Amino acid sequence: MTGHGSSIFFSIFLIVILISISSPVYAGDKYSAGEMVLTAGIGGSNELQIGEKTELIVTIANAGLINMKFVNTGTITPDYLPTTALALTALLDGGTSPVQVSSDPQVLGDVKAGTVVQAPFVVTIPDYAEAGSYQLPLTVKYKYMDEATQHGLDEIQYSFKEEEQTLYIPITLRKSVRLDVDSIDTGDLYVGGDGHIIINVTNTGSDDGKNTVFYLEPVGKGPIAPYQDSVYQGDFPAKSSATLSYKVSVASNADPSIQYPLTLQAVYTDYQGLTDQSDKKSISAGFRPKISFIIGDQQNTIPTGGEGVITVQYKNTGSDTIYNAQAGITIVDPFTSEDDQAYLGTMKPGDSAVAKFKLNVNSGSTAKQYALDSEIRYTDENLTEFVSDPIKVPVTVTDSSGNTILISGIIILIIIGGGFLYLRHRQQN
Amino acid sequence: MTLLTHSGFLLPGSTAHAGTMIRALLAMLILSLAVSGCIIHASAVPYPYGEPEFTATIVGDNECTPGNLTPLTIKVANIATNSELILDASNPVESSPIVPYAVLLTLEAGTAPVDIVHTVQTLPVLPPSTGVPLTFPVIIPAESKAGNYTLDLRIQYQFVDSIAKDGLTNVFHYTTRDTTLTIPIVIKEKVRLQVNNITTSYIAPGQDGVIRADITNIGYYSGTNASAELTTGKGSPISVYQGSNHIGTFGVGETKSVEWRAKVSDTLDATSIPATVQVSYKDKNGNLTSSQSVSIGIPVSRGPKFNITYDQPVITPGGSAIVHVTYINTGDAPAIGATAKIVPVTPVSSKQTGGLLGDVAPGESVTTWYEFMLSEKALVKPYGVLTDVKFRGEDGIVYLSDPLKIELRTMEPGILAILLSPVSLIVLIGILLVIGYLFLKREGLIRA
Repeated sequence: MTGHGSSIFFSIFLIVILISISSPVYAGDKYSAGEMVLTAGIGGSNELQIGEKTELIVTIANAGLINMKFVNTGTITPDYLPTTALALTALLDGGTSPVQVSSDPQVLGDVKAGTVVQAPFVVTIPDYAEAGSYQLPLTVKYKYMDEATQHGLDEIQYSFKEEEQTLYIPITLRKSVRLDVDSIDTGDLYVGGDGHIIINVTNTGSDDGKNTVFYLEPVGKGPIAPYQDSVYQGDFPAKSSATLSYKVSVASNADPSIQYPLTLQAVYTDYQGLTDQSDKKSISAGFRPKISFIIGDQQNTIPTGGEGVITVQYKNTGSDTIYNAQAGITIVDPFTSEDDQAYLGTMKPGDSAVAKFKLNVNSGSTAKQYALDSEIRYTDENLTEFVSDPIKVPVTVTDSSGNTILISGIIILIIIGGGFLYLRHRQQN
Repeated sequence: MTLLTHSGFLLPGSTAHAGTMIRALLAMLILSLAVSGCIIHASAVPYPYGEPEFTATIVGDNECTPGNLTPLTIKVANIATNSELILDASNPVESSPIVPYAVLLTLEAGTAPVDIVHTVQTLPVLPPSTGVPLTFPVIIPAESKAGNYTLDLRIQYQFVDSIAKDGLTNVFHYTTRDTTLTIPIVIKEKVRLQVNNITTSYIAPGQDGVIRADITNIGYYSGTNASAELTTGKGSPISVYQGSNHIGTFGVGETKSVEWRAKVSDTLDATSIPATVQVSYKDKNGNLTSSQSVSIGIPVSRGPKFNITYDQPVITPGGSAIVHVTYINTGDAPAIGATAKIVPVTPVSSKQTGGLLGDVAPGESVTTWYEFMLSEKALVKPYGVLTDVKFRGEDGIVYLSDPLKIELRTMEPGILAILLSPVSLIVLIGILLVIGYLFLKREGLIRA
């Protein structure tokens, strides 16, 4: 076909199409044209706390406007409107703010004009963030129907375009009290005793806390039980420090090789007079093992039916001085005692002290070695009382040999008498 | 042929030719339109007159309490009505001038001393006769003055004010409007507390004591039949057993002195325990209401604490020793009517087990003495005798100090004691018998 011939053919084709779309005898729907108007905001407060991790609900509204509408009735109604955002995805980014967004782009599907959709984004505001106002860029990507071309009376061909748009969402990082734990001292904390957790904490935030109360809370079930879980500090200005002392008890079955987790949190009145709270700061506390003791290897022997004094040498093998120490033995059958306690006094690490106990052994007792439980009660320098772990004290019960004193006396008498008789016999001879 | 574009313009077909083709096309276009009987022209479409009209009101209570973050729910409604109805069967117009599109709503503080913490909200469309509730978080600072205020609700929107017919197309013309509605709110008149001069007496471990404070009404309402209440948290080492104090009318700026009574756990050390103070009162409607609670710290003192000093006695079994014991109040509160007590346990005994110390101020010391006796059968070893101090607290309640120990050192008995031992006695008897025998023999009373 020549160029001229092709022109004629095209002209004829176009005339047919134009007639088909402009003739009222072919009843049909209208076409529309318009523009996309997307806006974004935050559902709820746009003030965020420094240090928190939260889900930010971003609302995206499509306020697309219809600019044109085909009123001819000879055309096919398209499946898409140019004001519909197709396959919309939204990606929130921290931008120049310190906010960290940990959510992937959210797929929100087709968003028609006149509708609002919500996209959740998990954001973290790190400790080091500065309070203030920021803009979070929200990048929305979508397709839209750019052209609809009708071919004949029963076919319509679409042309889509992709669009990327950045919307900015204003947020405010609220002034707040932030905790920075400088040191934790658990020096007087022992297994099975009472002691103190002393925490030095600094307000690294930008708000001056008023009526500040610090709460210490064990994480889960643990051996550390605070007698007081809160301390009133009052004013806690920004950049200031406070020393907090919590009295706690440590269970007697606690493992001193483990650091136990706790959390510290400040509840305060903020710059607007509202009650606010800092984020929870994880800390840990350890404690020392109980003071340990060993006993010497004295051999204590008592005959059946007799009485005797046993001596036990206790040595403080712990790392701290103990005060008002008193050893006691648990008297069980076949033993009885009128004096089962022995005062040891103050014992420095490595010191030894001898305890004496008076024991009686019932007659007819089986001669063998027995082990009596012994324990030491003592206090620390704060007069907190402790009880040591039991220590076994071996005592050997021998067969009865009568009253040793009496026997000794009789033997002496026999010797004296024998000597006297011997002398008399020599004199007679 | 392109029917529709995103920008809304009719574009030529993709197979258009240049030059003479344009002339031919125009001729054919005129021909085709003539055949169809249609004539392209721009003209106004019959369209009713009108525009959106908004109203906004707070849903629920419009009274806000200072010191709160209040989610203020505002219902925004389009109350416009169509001024006319135009029927055009050949070209029905679906749009209406009273329908606003792309409605942007911004709440502003207006005259109110509040802080709006919300981004702009968008309503894509707000049909007439419908209301949409929107929630705006609003902070009412604690120091906000009570009164009537108005918030500004700025509404930016577009609406179709006319439609033009351009050939085969209705072209909408939008007008942008920016209007502001005022929304009245009331910041409540409340009693607001300031707590000063907190002092305590006998608030020490294990004691019952009194907490006193001055409370000032720094709010904007004078409460009647007011009571000041002190509460501590669950599990607090301070349990308040008289926590309410009637203060009557509590005028604006007025300061009242109040006191409460509480018991302190004996496991506590000197510290500051948090508690809250709140005033309940009758408001202007005669209803009982409460002020916002204020956190305070209750100072817990160490109370009277005792330590002892003494010259360590040495005692022998069967012997006795007098010990002068000095009791020192190392605490931070006086011990009233203090008496010292000892608890000797066999083989240690004492004829007197107590000594009067009297009132012992912090840092003061009082000396008393005891005579200890040690049983003859006692082992030679150190003995510890328990001692403590009884003293009176608030309301004459008697308290006991931590136990202390008086250490008694012992020493081996002297020669007489050795001679009186059983073995020594037997030997002595034997020797005496021999001596007696020899004496009798020498006197001739016994024959050789």
